[in-house]
Amino acid sequence: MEEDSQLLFAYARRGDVQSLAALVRRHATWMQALLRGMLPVAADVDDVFQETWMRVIRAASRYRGGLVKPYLATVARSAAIDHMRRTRATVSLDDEEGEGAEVASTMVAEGPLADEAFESQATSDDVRRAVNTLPEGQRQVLLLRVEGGLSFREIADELSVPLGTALTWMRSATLKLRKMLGGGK
Amino acid sequence: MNEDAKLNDFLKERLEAGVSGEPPRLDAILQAASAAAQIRAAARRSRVRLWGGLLAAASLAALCLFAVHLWVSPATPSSPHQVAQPVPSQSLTSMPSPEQTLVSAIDLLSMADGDNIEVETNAVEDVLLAWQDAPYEYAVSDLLAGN
Repeated sequence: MEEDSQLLFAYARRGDVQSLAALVRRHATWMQALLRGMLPVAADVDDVFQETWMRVIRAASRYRGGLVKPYLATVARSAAIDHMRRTRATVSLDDEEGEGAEVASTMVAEGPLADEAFESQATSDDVRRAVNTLPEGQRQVLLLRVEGGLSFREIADELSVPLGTALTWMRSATLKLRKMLGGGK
Repeated sequence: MNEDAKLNDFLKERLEAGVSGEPPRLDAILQAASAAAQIRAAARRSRVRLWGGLLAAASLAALCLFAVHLWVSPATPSSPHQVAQPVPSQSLTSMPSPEQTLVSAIDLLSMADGDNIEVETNAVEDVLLAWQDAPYEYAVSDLLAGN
């Protein structure tokens, strides 16, 4: 199987659209999951997904190598933020206890699930709901880490926050999700 | 695997569970990609044509300049089309003729006496050095040697 960078180079240098199609298919799942976690309206995912790839296409000639997945994750995040700005749905990264806090506290009040439930009973909807309750900064760190595969240094650079802040947000997000989803730690 | 990694894997699996593997609007994305690739290729071709034309024009201009330079520049010995002309000997007209030099040398020697022979010989050498023609210098040397 060709590397992501080879596919992107094949498109950028030779105009090989099939290489780009393979790249789009390869990264479709996690990118949609990332966008679904970032965007408040699920129906907007397709728009932002398309916009992400349009940006990649426009910038393809400037691609000089490097890991493709983290690059795509940062482009997707940027497209999502621009979309939210246009639709006035953005939330500041500093809003540590956003509107989801109430939902989170409700879920926590229900008590941690058993370990088995953590593995099998928390559905996709539960997880999405729990992730959406996280403050904006924690949610973005979590999604960029889990779905985008970025390092914490890359996440800190992308969010323009100190590395320690990114690590703290990830830790807080992890603890909250454990409580909400049943990890209990 | 530590607990955080387990949680991350669990979250990833759940977040991607309900997502279609097929990318949305793939046709539109590929159409745009194709159009962008064609625009880039056209721009690349146009750049190649532009630079190729500029290079050809610059080469032609350099060739013309060289031809004009050859046409208008004065003939020089360095030119391959020129035959080197003999350089005229320096100020021969102002110099005494060989015969006159020899006569002067013989006169000086004939007037020489024992004490002044070195001074007069030096005077002969001065005359000969002023003339600087080797074959006659040897001839005078022969004369002085008495041959």
